[in-house]
Amino acid sequence: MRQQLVLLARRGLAQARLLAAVLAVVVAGTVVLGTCVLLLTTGADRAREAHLRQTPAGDLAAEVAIGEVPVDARGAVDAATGVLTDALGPLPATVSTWASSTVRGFGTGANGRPQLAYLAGISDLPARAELLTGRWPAASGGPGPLEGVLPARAAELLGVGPGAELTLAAGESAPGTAVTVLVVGTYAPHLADPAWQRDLLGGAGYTAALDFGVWRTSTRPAYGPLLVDSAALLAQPGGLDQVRVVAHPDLTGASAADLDAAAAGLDAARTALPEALTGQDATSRVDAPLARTLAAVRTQQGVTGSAVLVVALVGLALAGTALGLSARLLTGRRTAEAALLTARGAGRRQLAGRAAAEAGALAVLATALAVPLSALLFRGLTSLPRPAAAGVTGPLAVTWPLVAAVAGGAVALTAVLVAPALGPVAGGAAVRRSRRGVVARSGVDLLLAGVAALVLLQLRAHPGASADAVDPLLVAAPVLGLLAAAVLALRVLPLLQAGAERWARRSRGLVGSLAAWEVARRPHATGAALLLVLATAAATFATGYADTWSTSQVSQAAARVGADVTVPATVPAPLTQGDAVAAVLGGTVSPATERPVSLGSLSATGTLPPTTRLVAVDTSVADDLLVGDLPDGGRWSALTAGLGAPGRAPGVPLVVPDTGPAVTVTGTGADGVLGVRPVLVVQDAQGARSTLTGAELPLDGTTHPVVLRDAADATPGPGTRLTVVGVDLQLSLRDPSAVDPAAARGVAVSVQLQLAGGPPDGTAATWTARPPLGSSPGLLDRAGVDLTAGAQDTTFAVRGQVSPAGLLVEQAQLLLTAYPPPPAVPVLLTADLAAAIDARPGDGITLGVGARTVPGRVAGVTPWLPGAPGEPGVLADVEVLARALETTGDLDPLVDSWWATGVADPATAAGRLADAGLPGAVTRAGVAAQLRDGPLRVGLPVVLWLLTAAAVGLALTGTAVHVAAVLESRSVEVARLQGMGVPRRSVAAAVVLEHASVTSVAVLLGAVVGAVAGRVLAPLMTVSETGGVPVPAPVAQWPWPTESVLVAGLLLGCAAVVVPVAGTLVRRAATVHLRLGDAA
Amino acid sequence: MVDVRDVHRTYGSGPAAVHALSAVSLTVAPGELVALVGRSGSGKTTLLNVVGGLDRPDAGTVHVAGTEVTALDDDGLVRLRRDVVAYVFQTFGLIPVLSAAENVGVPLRLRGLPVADREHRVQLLLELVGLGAQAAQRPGEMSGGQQQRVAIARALAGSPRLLIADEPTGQLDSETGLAVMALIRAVVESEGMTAIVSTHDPVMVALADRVVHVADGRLVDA
Ligand SMILES: Nc1ncnc2c1ncn2[C@@H]1O[C@H](COP(=O)(O)OP(=O)(O)OP(=O)(O)O)[C@@H](O)[C@H]1O
Ligand SMILES: [Mg+2]
Repeated sequence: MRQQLVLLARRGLAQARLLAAVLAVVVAGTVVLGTCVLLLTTGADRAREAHLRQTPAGDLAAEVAIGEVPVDARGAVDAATGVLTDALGPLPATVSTWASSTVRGFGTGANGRPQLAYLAGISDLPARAELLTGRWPAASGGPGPLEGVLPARAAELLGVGPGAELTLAAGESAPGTAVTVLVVGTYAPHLADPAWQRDLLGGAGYTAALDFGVWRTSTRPAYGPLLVDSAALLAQPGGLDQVRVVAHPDLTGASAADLDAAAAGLDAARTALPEALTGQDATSRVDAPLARTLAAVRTQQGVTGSAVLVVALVGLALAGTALGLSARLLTGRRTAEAALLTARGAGRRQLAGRAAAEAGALAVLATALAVPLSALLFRGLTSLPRPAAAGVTGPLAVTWPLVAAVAGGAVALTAVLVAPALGPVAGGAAVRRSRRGVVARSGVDLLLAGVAALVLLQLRAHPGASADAVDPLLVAAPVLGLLAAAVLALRVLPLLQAGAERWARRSRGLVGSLAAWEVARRPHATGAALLLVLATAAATFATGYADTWSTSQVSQAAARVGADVTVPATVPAPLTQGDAVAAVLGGTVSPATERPVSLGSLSATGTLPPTTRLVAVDTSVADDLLVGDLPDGGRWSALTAGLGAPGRAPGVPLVVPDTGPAVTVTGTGADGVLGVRPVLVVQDAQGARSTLTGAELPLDGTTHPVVLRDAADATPGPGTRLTVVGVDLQLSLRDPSAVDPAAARGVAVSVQLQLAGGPPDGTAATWTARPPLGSSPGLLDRAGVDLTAGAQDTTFAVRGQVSPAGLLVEQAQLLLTAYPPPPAVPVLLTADLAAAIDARPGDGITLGVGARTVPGRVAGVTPWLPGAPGEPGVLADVEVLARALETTGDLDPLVDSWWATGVADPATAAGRLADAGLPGAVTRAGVAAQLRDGPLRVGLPVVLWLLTAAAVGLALTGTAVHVAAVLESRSVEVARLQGMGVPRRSVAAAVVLEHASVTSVAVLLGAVVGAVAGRVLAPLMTVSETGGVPVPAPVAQWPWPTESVLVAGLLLGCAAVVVPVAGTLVRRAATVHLRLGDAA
Repeated sequence: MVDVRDVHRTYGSGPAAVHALSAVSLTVAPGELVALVGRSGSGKTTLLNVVGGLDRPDAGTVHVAGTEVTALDDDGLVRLRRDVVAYVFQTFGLIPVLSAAENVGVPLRLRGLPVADREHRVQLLLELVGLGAQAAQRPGEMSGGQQQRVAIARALAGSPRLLIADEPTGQLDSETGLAVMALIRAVVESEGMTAIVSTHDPVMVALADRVVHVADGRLVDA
């Protein structure tokens, strides 16, 4: 044994350089593996922690909502708290409650209308609101009135302050007795806290019109919440509307197992909660955003994990190839020794044992080196700017999984070294006929290519990754594809060799011919070439894939947002919101409608998807507004050309003077029995519609000023610039008793509506008057309108004939517009929707928007819906849609959000909008950053950088090993050439030329393989966040500059390896071997 | 043709120093075939290396065809090997990946001979050494004697004026060795070359014009 070891050590010393190179290859391979393992374990943990750190607290909460609160509210809350803390298991959680009372009668307001108020008890009050005057309510339990604080807005409107006592009645829907509250202070809610979304008024403190009553048919002004001590409110017998128990778990340092347990616990809580509340007679519901967040995290980590595995496999395949090459060279140098040992009686087992011992020693050494190197590399990679920004940087991590993976990898790789020793001992080192093309001749490459093709077909047939498990297909495809392509590409080598052979025969000179002969006749070039092809392919593929992936994320972000920035419109939206958005953002701003639509198809057949989305934007500026990439570089304006975008509607400018809008109504009809409520449909500079509604006025021949209020019950501020694009006159009976229900005769009505405002805009549109589409026939006839435009004002003289008897049953509407009613709304259907309902361009389709139905027409197909890519939906022009809805008499606000593109400084857009009172903006840049560089996502680019670096490293190490070994074995031959009078320079040139040509061809072949794999595989491997097929479909990218630099770098790197080795060799060969009498 | 004057060559230094050549002087006339004989370790190979410019003496001068070999720089030596001197090695010294014809063609390619001329001359040379039919064979596919004949053909290809052969028959059986020696004898005569051949085999000595005995690094008169 000792002897054996001594022999091993001696042999090792003699071949120190080659062994060092082999060690380098094993270490490189295992470092890739180890780094991948760290990415999959420590990296994934850090990514999850970072992601959860960045997640808004609301998405990490779990909450129980208890409706129909039982008498023992405290008990119900305790039970719910128990269920939540049980569900969260090992995660410590802070539990807070939000209890609100039923809305109760609360005296009458100045105009004599009854008004409403309600109470709320909130945990950690000081964190959720700012105390403006007075103090926070004391925890009262004793006698005396309940203490409470009023929202500042309510206090102002009610004209009360600290010291006042407010009494809430035991009202219709509020059982129990009246409650008296002593106001001890006023507060302003922190509206940025999403908790306020639970409030009935969203923290506004006051609304002019709260839907009220059993059927929510009447509206009343309402104030609240009057915040009282939470415990005191829960102790109130009855009168609670809703109690929410919210748990905010502390996730710092939570392990994956803890989180899985919590997710499972929350799932179980859905059944546990009703059990805990049995006998309480309450309705309850668990809402766990935390569970959804955790599920999403798991999906995304699975998707990223697949990619990391892909890279680990490609890295291992590369290391295996490099090692196979080294092993062959090592064996080649040892054949003589093996032959000698065999001659001395050593059995094959003995030889294999010797090789195994050596491999074992190498494996141990490689593990010892690779573990710290992996930890360092992982740290280095995660400290690069993008991952660092994602927050995945951390201290050096040496973990058991790392050690195990590295050790396993080292053993597997060094086993490659033992394998040749198990084969028969080759006799002699004489170079016989070239063995070139052994792989090609055996057909292994064709077999491999066949398997790869099958995998590829499978991948094409089932694109996307499965959400939960790692997809073996997705993981195996690139390795198989790259290997097959690389091996197949080697078929080019024999052609090249034949060419070289022919060229050498015809050549006159020596240097080129020598290089050509060596290229043509050295068999071991194949192994080195395979390594180079594979490494170059892996590096270029990784670079291309990284670009394809990144580009796709940016493209997905653009599609998901639809524009540079979208921000939800507040409900109700103030008149000037569009102007405010435009002022904050600049660029192209469009109102957008985003809501569900129900499709009734008039002529189409097929099954309708369960939910269909309607997106309508200003398509007259489609190219400036919509940002997502269309296939084949298509333009949005071309796609939306058929949507009939008319741009802004024509109308009469309305400039609100300091005294408020000056509008008057004069009219006659049925001797004053009729009344009219004028509604102006106005449009802001962005083309967004809203309405200004006046009170009902008698048509009694006198001129009445009209007080106009917007949807938020406010009168437009002075200086507001609007365009009146429609007028809706709602005719009703002021005194139904004065009408004979049997009288069928219509009576003439005339209304003069005078607007202080400039003349109608330059389009000089003709205004028409008509009842809305679908109103009862005979109710209103012979409608007409004449417009008189003065310098200062415009008068609409409207006439018609209305049936007073009909008005007993329903209101009559007379609609004035400056546009003709659109025949149908042209829409683009998403491709999948069109296929599902078998719709073709020109088909009629009905669009159910809210309560109204408007006729539509299929104008074409869009690959995806802006703002909701991948969902079945309908794209329309917002102006056409508005006109169509107005034509039906539906004047409800249509603006759900504002879309803007070309905005100044998109990075800060969301913040600026929030400062301007428009929270919740989504920016394309923000979504792209999250998709591309978010903690759960950045692992993919990182691992591709790793693959690129590893491929380059292995290519260079492999080339160095190969060149050194090959040239050393040829030093005698090199000396002989010099002995024949071939100058040293020429010999060196021949050697360099030989290697340079093989290297360049291999690198170029590798680049071609990488490019083909990038084109074919990369789009298939690019999956969405949830593992699905991305929308828009990923487009293969080939970043020429980076790829060129990479290929040039590889060529230069190989040259940097070959040239000095060749130089040294030629010099040394001359001094060592250029002698007569040296045995060679 | 060759003029060796008072050449010393010592390997190593101090007590371990080996005086491989001590004050060796030798003159070889043009067209002469000289056989170097002596016991193993006597300094034959060292002398041939010094004459051929493959090794430098510690003292003394060597002239070959009027050129002072001992004063040549690397480029000069390359030119000497290309144009004046050719070597035949005991181990044949062929390039294994090249066929017999290609091996013979190397010195011709070095001179940039037109392809047709080269192929013609290669064929002639191979026929001269009796291997016309083996032109396409690689060294690994030939016997030792055939390889040595290819090596001689290659040495002749460059039309050298001096042929230096170190135990050209050392690896061959006596019959083949005799044939190779006869070949060298024949080409020296037909091409008018000068040749210095070292050998252990007294039978071969008979073919030489002159026999020089080497013993312990000195020439001894027979
Ligand atoms: N490179 C060297 N380093 C040290 N000593 C050397 C070297 N080359 C030759 N010698 C020594 O010089 C002496 C002459 O050697 P040389 O090779 O010239 O003998 P030779 O006559 O050719 O012997 P053989 O007939 O065995 O080939 C020997 O003692 C040898 O040991
Ligand atoms: Mg000798």
